[in-house]
Amino acid sequence: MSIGIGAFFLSILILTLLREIKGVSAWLKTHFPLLMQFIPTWSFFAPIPNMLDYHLYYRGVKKNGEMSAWQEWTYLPEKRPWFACVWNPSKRFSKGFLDIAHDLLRFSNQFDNPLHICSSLPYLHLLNFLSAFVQDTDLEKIQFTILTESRLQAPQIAFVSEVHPLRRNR
Amino acid sequence: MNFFSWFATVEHAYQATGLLLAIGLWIAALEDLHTFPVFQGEGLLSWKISRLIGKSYCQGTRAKIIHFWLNDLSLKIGVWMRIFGSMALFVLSALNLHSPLLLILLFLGTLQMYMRSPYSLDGAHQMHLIVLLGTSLGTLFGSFPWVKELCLGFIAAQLTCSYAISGITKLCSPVWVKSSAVYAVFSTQIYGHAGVYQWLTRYPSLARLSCWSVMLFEALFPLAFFVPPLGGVGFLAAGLGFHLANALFMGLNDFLFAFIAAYPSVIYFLMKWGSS
Repeated sequence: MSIGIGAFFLSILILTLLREIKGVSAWLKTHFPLLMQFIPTWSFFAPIPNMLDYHLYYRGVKKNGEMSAWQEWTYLPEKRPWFACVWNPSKRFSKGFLDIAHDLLRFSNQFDNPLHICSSLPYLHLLNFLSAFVQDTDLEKIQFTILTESRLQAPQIAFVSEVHPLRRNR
Repeated sequence: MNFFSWFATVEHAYQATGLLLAIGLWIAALEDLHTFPVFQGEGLLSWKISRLIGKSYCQGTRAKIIHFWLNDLSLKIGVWMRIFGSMALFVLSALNLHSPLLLILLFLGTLQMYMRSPYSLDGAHQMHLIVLLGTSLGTLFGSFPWVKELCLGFIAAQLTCSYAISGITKLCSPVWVKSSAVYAVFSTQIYGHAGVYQWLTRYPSLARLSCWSVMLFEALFPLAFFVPPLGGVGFLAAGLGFHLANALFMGLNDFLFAFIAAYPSVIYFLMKWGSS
Protein backbone atom coordinates (compact mmCIF):
# COMPACT_ATOMS: atom_id res chain seq x y z
CA MET A 1 0.00 0.00 0.00
CA SER A 2 2.77 2.43 0.95
CA ILE A 3 4.50 1.85 -2.38
CA GLY A 4 1.22 2.37 -4.29
CA ILE A 5 0.47 5.67 -2.54
CA GLY A 6 4.08 6.78 -2.93
CA ALA A 7 3.97 6.06 -6.67
CA PHE A 8 0.65 7.93 -6.97
CA PHE A 9 2.04 11.02 -5.23
CA LEU A 10 5.28 10.87 -7.18
CA SER A 11 3.43 10.79 -10.51
CA ILE A 12 1.32 13.83 -9.48
CA LEU A 13 4.50 15.68 -8.50
CA ILE A 14 6.24 14.83 -11.79
CA LEU A 15 3.17 15.93 -13.79
CA THR A 16 3.01 19.15 -11.71
CA LEU A 17 6.57 19.95 -12.78
CA LEU A 18 6.07 18.84 -16.40
CA ARG A 19 2.97 20.99 -16.84
CA GLU A 20 5.12 24.09 -16.35
CA ILE A 21 7.23 23.21 -19.43
CA LYS A 22 5.38 24.80 -22.37
CA GLY A 23 5.81 22.14 -25.10
CA VAL A 24 5.34 19.19 -22.74
CA SER A 25 2.31 20.81 -21.13
CA ALA A 26 0.59 21.28 -24.52
CA TRP A 27 1.28 17.65 -25.43
CA LEU A 28 -0.03 16.37 -22.09
CA LYS A 29 -3.20 18.52 -22.32
CA THR A 30 -3.90 17.23 -25.85
CA HIS A 31 -3.35 13.56 -25.04
CA PHE A 32 -4.60 13.42 -21.44
CA PRO A 33 -7.08 16.30 -21.07
CA LEU A 34 -9.08 14.74 -18.23
CA LEU A 35 -6.00 13.78 -16.21
CA MET A 36 -4.37 17.19 -16.64
CA GLN A 37 -7.50 18.89 -15.33
CA PHE A 38 -6.54 17.55 -11.90
CA ILE A 39 -2.87 18.53 -11.97
CA PRO A 40 -2.26 21.86 -10.21
CA THR A 41 -0.84 24.93 -11.97
CA TRP A 42 1.37 26.93 -9.65
CA SER A 43 2.58 29.79 -11.85
CA PHE A 44 0.10 32.33 -10.48
CA PHE A 45 0.70 36.01 -11.26
CA ALA A 46 3.47 34.81 -13.60
CA PRO A 47 5.03 35.15 -16.10
CA ILE A 48 2.73 38.13 -16.85
CA PRO A 49 0.42 39.12 -13.99
CA ASN A 50 -2.98 40.64 -14.63
CA MET A 51 -2.26 44.34 -15.05
CA LEU A 52 -5.69 45.53 -16.23
CA ASP A 53 -9.28 45.76 -15.10
CA TYR A 54 -11.91 44.41 -17.45
CA HIS A 55 -15.27 46.15 -17.72
CA LEU A 56 -18.42 44.76 -19.28
CA TYR A 57 -20.72 47.18 -21.11
CA TYR A 58 -23.93 46.34 -22.95
CA ARG A 59 -26.45 48.12 -25.10
CA GLY A 60 -29.72 47.06 -26.70
CA VAL A 61 -31.63 47.51 -29.90
CA LYS A 62 -35.09 48.86 -29.11
CA LYS A 63 -38.30 47.71 -30.78
CA ASN A 64 -38.20 50.81 -33.02
CA GLY A 65 -34.69 49.87 -34.15
CA GLU A 66 -32.97 52.58 -32.12
CA MET A 67 -29.80 51.73 -30.19
CA SER A 68 -29.79 52.35 -26.42
CA ALA A 69 -26.79 53.94 -24.70
CA TRP A 70 -23.95 51.71 -23.42
CA GLN A 71 -24.41 50.74 -19.77
CA GLU A 72 -21.87 49.15 -17.46
CA TRP A 73 -22.40 45.99 -15.46
CA THR A 74 -20.61 46.97 -12.27
CA TYR A 75 -18.99 44.15 -10.36
CA LEU A 76 -15.90 45.77 -8.84
CA PRO A 77 -16.45 47.70 -5.60
CA GLU A 78 -14.93 51.19 -5.62
CA LYS A 79 -12.94 50.21 -2.52
CA ARG A 80 -12.53 46.77 -0.93
CA PRO A 81 -13.90 46.72 2.63
CA TRP A 82 -11.33 46.33 5.41
CA PHE A 83 -12.68 42.86 6.29
CA ALA A 84 -12.00 41.55 2.73
CA CYS A 85 -8.78 40.08 4.15
CA VAL A 86 -10.99 37.43 5.80
CA TRP A 87 -14.35 37.64 4.03
CA ASN A 88 -14.32 38.51 0.34
CA PRO A 89 -17.19 36.80 -1.51
CA SER A 90 -17.23 39.42 -4.29
CA LYS A 91 -14.13 37.78 -5.76
CA ARG A 92 -16.37 34.99 -7.13
CA PHE A 93 -17.77 37.58 -9.57
CA SER A 94 -14.54 39.47 -10.16
CA LYS A 95 -12.33 36.38 -10.68
CA GLY A 96 -15.07 34.65 -12.68
CA PHE A 97 -15.45 37.62 -15.01
CA LEU A 98 -11.67 38.13 -15.25
CA ASP A 99 -11.17 34.49 -16.33
CA ILE A 100 -14.05 34.68 -18.81
CA ALA A 101 -12.76 37.96 -20.30
CA HIS A 102 -9.20 36.56 -20.61
CA ASP A 103 -10.50 33.43 -22.30
CA LEU A 104 -12.75 35.39 -24.68
CA LEU A 105 -9.91 37.68 -25.75
CA ARG A 106 -7.68 34.64 -26.29
CA PHE A 107 -10.37 33.09 -28.51
CA SER A 108 -10.91 36.27 -30.48
CA ASN A 109 -7.16 36.57 -31.13
CA GLN A 110 -6.96 32.91 -32.14
CA PHE A 111 -9.93 32.71 -34.53
CA ASP A 112 -11.16 35.02 -37.29
CA ASN A 113 -14.43 33.19 -37.84
CA PRO A 114 -17.15 34.89 -35.73
CA LEU A 115 -18.99 31.57 -35.50
CA HIS A 116 -16.07 30.07 -33.54
CA ILE A 117 -16.01 33.04 -31.18
CA CYS A 118 -19.80 33.22 -30.72
CA SER A 119 -19.99 29.53 -29.86
CA SER A 120 -17.08 29.66 -27.41
CA LEU A 121 -17.72 28.99 -23.73
CA PRO A 122 -16.76 32.48 -22.44
CA TYR A 123 -18.93 34.20 -25.07
CA LEU A 124 -21.94 32.03 -24.24
CA HIS A 125 -21.44 32.64 -20.50
CA LEU A 126 -21.58 36.42 -21.00
CA LEU A 127 -24.52 36.28 -23.41
CA ASN A 128 -26.51 33.99 -21.13
CA PHE A 129 -25.77 36.20 -18.13
CA LEU A 130 -26.63 39.51 -19.85
CA SER A 131 -29.82 38.09 -21.43
CA ALA A 132 -31.16 37.53 -17.94
CA PHE A 133 -29.55 40.59 -16.38
CA VAL A 134 -31.07 43.12 -18.81
CA GLN A 135 -34.59 43.82 -17.59
CA ASP A 136 -35.61 46.57 -20.04
CA THR A 137 -38.67 45.13 -21.84
CA ASP A 138 -38.28 47.70 -24.62
CA LEU A 139 -35.10 45.99 -25.82
CA GLU A 140 -35.26 43.29 -28.51
CA LYS A 141 -31.58 42.61 -29.12
CA ILE A 142 -28.36 42.97 -27.18
CA GLN A 143 -24.69 43.64 -27.81
CA PHE A 144 -21.81 43.71 -25.33
CA THR A 145 -18.28 44.99 -25.24
CA ILE A 146 -15.27 44.50 -22.98
CA LEU A 147 -13.13 47.48 -22.06
CA THR A 148 -9.74 47.32 -20.40
CA GLU A 149 -8.24 50.00 -18.17
CA SER A 150 -6.16 50.60 -15.07
CA ARG A 151 -4.76 53.56 -13.15
CA LEU A 152 -1.91 53.43 -15.70
CA GLN A 153 -3.97 52.92 -18.87
CA ALA A 154 -6.90 54.84 -20.31
CA PRO A 155 -9.96 52.73 -21.26
CA GLN A 156 -9.54 50.70 -24.46
CA ILE A 157 -12.05 48.55 -26.33
CA ALA A 158 -10.79 44.98 -26.23
CA PHE A 159 -13.79 43.14 -27.69
CA VAL A 160 -17.16 43.91 -29.29
CA SER A 161 -19.79 41.18 -29.64
CA GLU A 162 -22.29 40.52 -32.40
CA VAL A 163 -25.89 41.67 -31.89
CA HIS A 164 -28.13 38.88 -30.52
CA PRO A 165 -31.89 38.62 -30.02
CA LEU A 166 -32.94 38.63 -26.37
CA ARG A 167 -34.41 35.28 -25.34
CA ARG A 168 -37.60 36.62 -23.80
CA ASN A 169 -38.64 38.19 -27.17
CA ARG A 170 -38.37 35.00 -29.17
CA MET B 1 11.97 26.34 19.15
CA ASN B 2 9.72 24.76 21.81
CA PHE B 3 6.52 25.80 20.07
CA PHE B 4 7.70 24.34 16.76
CA SER B 5 8.92 21.10 18.30
CA TRP B 6 5.24 20.42 19.12
CA PHE B 7 4.85 19.71 15.36
CA ALA B 8 7.55 17.04 15.48
CA THR B 9 4.96 14.27 15.87
CA VAL B 10 2.80 13.08 12.98
CA GLU B 11 -0.38 13.36 15.11
CA HIS B 12 0.24 17.00 15.97
CA ALA B 13 1.07 17.85 12.35
CA TYR B 14 -2.26 16.31 11.27
CA GLN B 15 -4.08 18.10 14.08
CA ALA B 16 -2.71 21.54 13.15
CA THR B 17 -3.35 20.89 9.44
CA GLY B 18 -6.95 19.89 10.21
CA LEU B 19 -7.60 23.05 12.25
CA LEU B 20 -6.19 25.43 9.64
CA LEU B 21 -7.78 23.55 6.75
CA ALA B 22 -11.18 23.66 8.46
CA ILE B 23 -11.07 27.46 8.82
CA GLY B 24 -10.13 27.94 5.15
CA LEU B 25 -12.76 25.49 3.88
CA TRP B 26 -15.45 27.04 6.09
CA ILE B 27 -14.82 30.57 4.79
CA ALA B 28 -14.66 29.35 1.17
CA ALA B 29 -17.92 27.40 1.52
CA LEU B 30 -19.72 30.33 3.17
CA GLU B 31 -18.52 32.60 0.36
CA ASP B 32 -19.85 30.10 -2.20
CA LEU B 33 -23.22 30.07 -0.43
CA HIS B 34 -23.30 33.87 -0.26
CA THR B 35 -22.66 34.18 -4.02
CA PHE B 36 -24.67 31.12 -5.05
CA PRO B 37 -26.75 33.02 -7.70
CA VAL B 38 -23.54 33.26 -9.75
CA PHE B 39 -23.74 29.47 -10.26
CA GLN B 40 -27.47 29.32 -11.01
CA GLY B 41 -29.20 29.17 -14.42
CA GLU B 42 -28.88 32.85 -15.33
CA GLY B 43 -25.67 33.47 -13.40
CA LEU B 44 -22.24 34.28 -14.76
CA LEU B 45 -21.04 30.70 -14.12
CA SER B 46 -24.24 28.91 -15.08
CA TRP B 47 -24.08 25.11 -15.30
CA LYS B 48 -26.16 25.01 -18.49
CA ILE B 49 -23.29 26.85 -20.23
CA SER B 50 -20.38 25.34 -18.28
CA ARG B 51 -21.46 21.82 -19.24
CA LEU B 52 -20.92 22.66 -22.93
CA ILE B 53 -17.17 22.46 -22.25
CA GLY B 54 -16.80 18.99 -23.76
CA LYS B 55 -18.63 16.07 -25.32
CA SER B 56 -18.25 13.95 -22.18
CA TYR B 57 -20.20 16.63 -20.25
CA CYS B 58 -23.15 16.64 -22.73
CA GLN B 59 -23.68 13.17 -24.22
CA GLY B 60 -23.80 9.59 -22.99
CA THR B 61 -23.89 7.86 -19.65
CA ARG B 62 -20.84 9.69 -18.33
CA ALA B 63 -22.64 13.00 -19.00
CA LYS B 64 -25.64 11.83 -16.95
CA ILE B 65 -23.40 10.97 -14.00
CA ILE B 66 -21.54 14.29 -14.32
CA HIS B 67 -24.84 16.19 -14.54
CA PHE B 68 -26.19 14.37 -11.47
CA TRP B 69 -23.09 15.38 -9.49
CA LEU B 70 -22.67 18.93 -10.76
CA ASN B 71 -26.22 20.28 -11.25
CA ASP B 72 -27.40 23.28 -9.18
CA LEU B 73 -29.14 21.21 -6.48
CA SER B 74 -26.15 18.88 -6.00
CA LEU B 75 -23.85 21.89 -5.86
CA LYS B 76 -25.96 23.51 -3.16
CA ILE B 77 -25.97 20.27 -1.17
CA GLY B 78 -22.20 20.15 -1.66
CA VAL B 79 -21.78 23.70 -0.37
CA TRP B 80 -23.86 22.99 2.77
CA MET B 81 -21.96 19.75 3.28
CA ARG B 82 -18.67 21.72 3.12
CA ILE B 83 -19.99 24.25 5.66
CA PHE B 84 -21.01 21.62 8.22
CA GLY B 85 -18.16 19.29 7.27
CA SER B 86 -15.53 21.96 7.91
CA MET B 87 -17.12 22.76 11.29
CA ALA B 88 -17.00 19.07 12.19
CA LEU B 89 -13.39 18.89 10.98
CA PHE B 90 -12.44 21.79 13.27
CA VAL B 91 -14.05 20.17 16.33
CA LEU B 92 -12.57 16.72 15.59
CA SER B 93 -9.13 18.19 14.93
CA ALA B 94 -9.28 20.16 18.19
CA LEU B 95 -9.96 16.83 19.94
CA ASN B 96 -7.15 15.23 17.91
CA LEU B 97 -9.59 12.83 16.25
CA HIS B 98 -9.40 12.09 12.53
CA SER B 99 -12.22 10.90 10.30
CA PRO B 100 -11.16 9.70 6.83
CA LEU B 101 -14.81 9.67 5.71
CA LEU B 102 -15.24 13.36 6.61
CA LEU B 103 -12.03 14.31 4.81
CA ILE B 104 -13.02 12.32 1.71
CA LEU B 105 -16.46 14.03 1.67
CA LEU B 106 -14.79 17.44 1.96
CA PHE B 107 -12.40 16.47 -0.83
CA LEU B 108 -15.32 15.47 -3.09
CA GLY B 109 -17.21 18.67 -2.21
CA THR B 110 -14.21 20.82 -3.11
CA LEU B 111 -13.60 18.77 -6.27
CA GLN B 112 -17.24 19.37 -7.27
CA MET B 113 -16.60 23.12 -7.44
CA TYR B 114 -13.36 22.48 -9.30
CA MET B 115 -15.05 20.30 -11.95
CA ARG B 116 -18.11 22.47 -12.39
CA SER B 117 -16.43 25.39 -14.16
CA PRO B 118 -12.92 26.25 -15.30
CA TYR B 119 -13.55 29.87 -14.27
CA SER B 120 -13.32 31.67 -10.92
CA LEU B 121 -10.90 29.16 -9.38
CA ASP B 122 -7.48 30.00 -8.03
CA GLY B 123 -4.41 28.59 -6.32
CA ALA B 124 -6.26 28.39 -3.01
CA HIS B 125 -8.75 25.86 -4.45
CA GLN B 126 -5.83 23.78 -5.72
CA MET B 127 -4.05 23.90 -2.38
CA HIS B 128 -7.22 22.90 -0.54
CA LEU B 129 -7.51 19.87 -2.82
CA ILE B 130 -3.85 18.93 -2.29
CA VAL B 131 -4.10 19.17 1.51
CA LEU B 132 -7.43 17.29 1.53
CA LEU B 133 -6.01 14.55 -0.71
CA GLY B 134 -2.95 14.16 1.49
CA THR B 135 -4.82 14.12 4.80
CA SER B 136 -7.62 11.85 3.47
CA LEU B 137 -5.20 9.18 2.29
CA GLY B 138 -3.03 9.67 5.36
CA THR B 139 -5.90 8.98 7.76
CA LEU B 140 -7.52 6.27 5.61
CA PHE B 141 -4.37 4.19 5.17
CA GLY B 142 -2.57 5.50 8.25
CA SER B 143 -2.15 2.02 9.69
CA PHE B 144 0.27 1.08 6.92
CA PRO B 145 3.90 1.91 7.63
CA TRP B 146 5.15 5.31 6.45
CA VAL B 147 1.83 6.28 4.80
CA LYS B 148 1.03 9.11 7.24
CA GLU B 149 4.50 10.59 6.75
CA LEU B 150 4.34 10.03 3.01
CA CYS B 151 1.13 12.07 2.84
CA LEU B 152 2.66 14.91 4.86
CA GLY B 153 5.64 14.72 2.49
CA PHE B 154 3.32 15.07 -0.50
CA ILE B 155 1.69 18.19 0.98
CA ALA B 156 5.08 19.71 1.84
CA ALA B 157 6.43 18.89 -1.64
CA GLN B 158 3.44 20.49 -3.38
CA LEU B 159 3.76 23.62 -1.21
CA THR B 160 7.45 23.81 -2.10
CA CYS B 161 6.64 23.30 -5.81
CA SER B 162 3.98 26.00 -5.66
CA TYR B 163 6.40 28.64 -4.36
CA ALA B 164 9.40 27.51 -6.40
CA ILE B 165 7.52 27.26 -9.71
CA SER B 166 5.86 30.62 -9.17
CA GLY B 167 9.19 32.25 -8.21
CA ILE B 168 11.22 30.76 -11.06
CA THR B 169 8.52 31.68 -13.62
CA LYS B 170 8.60 35.26 -12.30
CA LEU B 171 12.41 35.34 -12.52
CA CYS B 172 12.09 34.45 -16.23
CA SER B 173 9.61 37.26 -16.85
CA PRO B 174 10.85 40.71 -17.93
CA VAL B 175 7.82 42.37 -16.26
CA TRP B 176 8.92 41.01 -12.88
CA VAL B 177 12.67 41.39 -13.36
CA LYS B 178 12.25 45.03 -14.44
CA SER B 179 10.22 45.49 -11.23
CA SER B 180 7.09 46.84 -12.93
CA ALA B 181 4.82 43.88 -12.08
CA VAL B 182 3.84 44.85 -8.52
CA TYR B 183 3.26 48.48 -9.53
CA ALA B 184 1.06 47.38 -12.46
CA VAL B 185 -0.91 44.87 -10.36
CA PHE B 186 -1.61 47.52 -7.70
CA SER B 187 -2.79 49.92 -10.44
CA THR B 188 -5.84 47.68 -10.97
CA GLN B 189 -9.06 47.74 -9.00
CA ILE B 190 -9.44 43.95 -8.92
CA TYR B 191 -6.16 43.14 -7.11
CA GLY B 192 -4.89 46.64 -6.41
CA HIS B 193 -5.05 49.03 -3.51
CA ALA B 194 -5.23 52.82 -3.92
CA GLY B 195 -3.07 53.54 -0.83
CA VAL B 196 -0.34 51.05 -1.75
CA TYR B 197 -0.39 52.30 -5.36
CA GLN B 198 0.24 55.87 -4.15
CA TRP B 199 3.14 54.71 -1.99
CA LEU B 200 4.67 52.78 -4.89
CA THR B 201 4.29 55.83 -7.14
CA ARG B 202 5.96 58.06 -4.55
CA TYR B 203 8.73 55.57 -3.71
CA PRO B 204 9.63 53.50 -6.83
CA SER B 205 12.34 51.71 -4.84
CA LEU B 206 9.51 50.09 -2.81
CA ALA B 207 8.13 48.55 -6.02
CA ARG B 208 11.59 47.15 -6.85
CA LEU B 209 12.01 45.85 -3.31
CA SER B 210 8.60 44.15 -3.27
CA CYS B 211 9.09 42.55 -6.72
CA TRP B 212 12.49 41.11 -5.79
CA SER B 213 11.37 40.07 -2.29
CA VAL B 214 8.50 38.06 -3.75
CA MET B 215 10.65 36.48 -6.47
CA LEU B 216 13.52 35.56 -4.15
CA PHE B 217 11.30 34.28 -1.34
CA GLU B 218 9.35 32.04 -3.73
CA ALA B 219 12.27 30.80 -5.83
CA LEU B 220 14.50 30.10 -2.79
CA PHE B 221 11.80 28.44 -0.69
CA PRO B 222 13.18 24.88 -1.31
CA LEU B 223 16.28 25.98 0.64
CA ALA B 224 14.11 25.91 3.78
CA PHE B 225 14.84 22.16 3.94
CA PHE B 226 18.60 22.59 3.66
CA VAL B 227 19.20 25.22 6.33
CA PRO B 228 18.99 24.76 10.15
CA PRO B 229 15.34 24.42 11.39
CA LEU B 230 15.27 28.04 12.62
CA GLY B 231 16.13 29.23 9.11
CA GLY B 232 13.38 27.01 7.70
CA VAL B 233 10.90 28.48 10.14
CA GLY B 234 12.12 31.91 8.96
CA PHE B 235 11.05 30.99 5.41
CA LEU B 236 7.60 30.06 6.73
CA ALA B 237 7.35 33.31 8.69
CA ALA B 238 8.16 35.17 5.45
CA GLY B 239 5.45 33.11 3.73
CA LEU B 240 2.93 33.99 6.43
CA GLY B 241 3.79 37.68 6.03
CA PHE B 242 3.47 37.36 2.25
CA HIS B 243 -0.01 35.79 2.45
CA LEU B 244 -1.15 38.28 5.11
CA ALA B 245 -0.09 41.17 2.86
CA ASN B 246 -1.86 39.56 -0.11
CA ALA B 247 -5.03 39.16 1.96
CA LEU B 248 -4.87 42.71 3.33
CA PHE B 249 -3.91 44.61 0.19
CA MET B 250 -5.07 42.36 -2.68
CA GLY B 251 -8.20 40.74 -1.24
CA LEU B 252 -6.68 37.24 -1.62
CA ASN B 253 -8.18 35.99 1.65
CA ASP B 254 -8.57 32.37 0.53
CA PHE B 255 -4.83 31.93 -0.15
CA LEU B 256 -4.04 32.74 3.47
CA PHE B 257 -5.65 29.72 5.16
CA ALA B 258 -5.26 27.36 2.19
CA PHE B 259 -1.48 27.79 2.06
CA ILE B 260 -0.95 28.07 5.81
CA ALA B 261 -2.75 24.72 6.15
CA ALA B 262 0.22 23.13 4.37
CA TYR B 263 2.79 24.69 6.74
CA PRO B 264 2.51 22.08 9.56
CA SER B 265 3.73 19.45 7.06
CA VAL B 266 6.83 21.52 6.34
CA ILE B 267 7.45 22.23 10.05
CA TYR B 268 7.13 18.50 10.77
CA PHE B 269 10.00 17.68 8.39
CA LEU B 270 12.08 20.68 9.51
CA MET B 271 11.84 19.50 13.13
CA LYS B 272 12.37 15.86 12.25
CA TRP B 273 15.44 16.43 10.09
CA GLY B 274 16.74 19.13 12.40
CA SER B 275 16.76 16.80 15.41
CA SER B 276 18.32 13.83 13.59
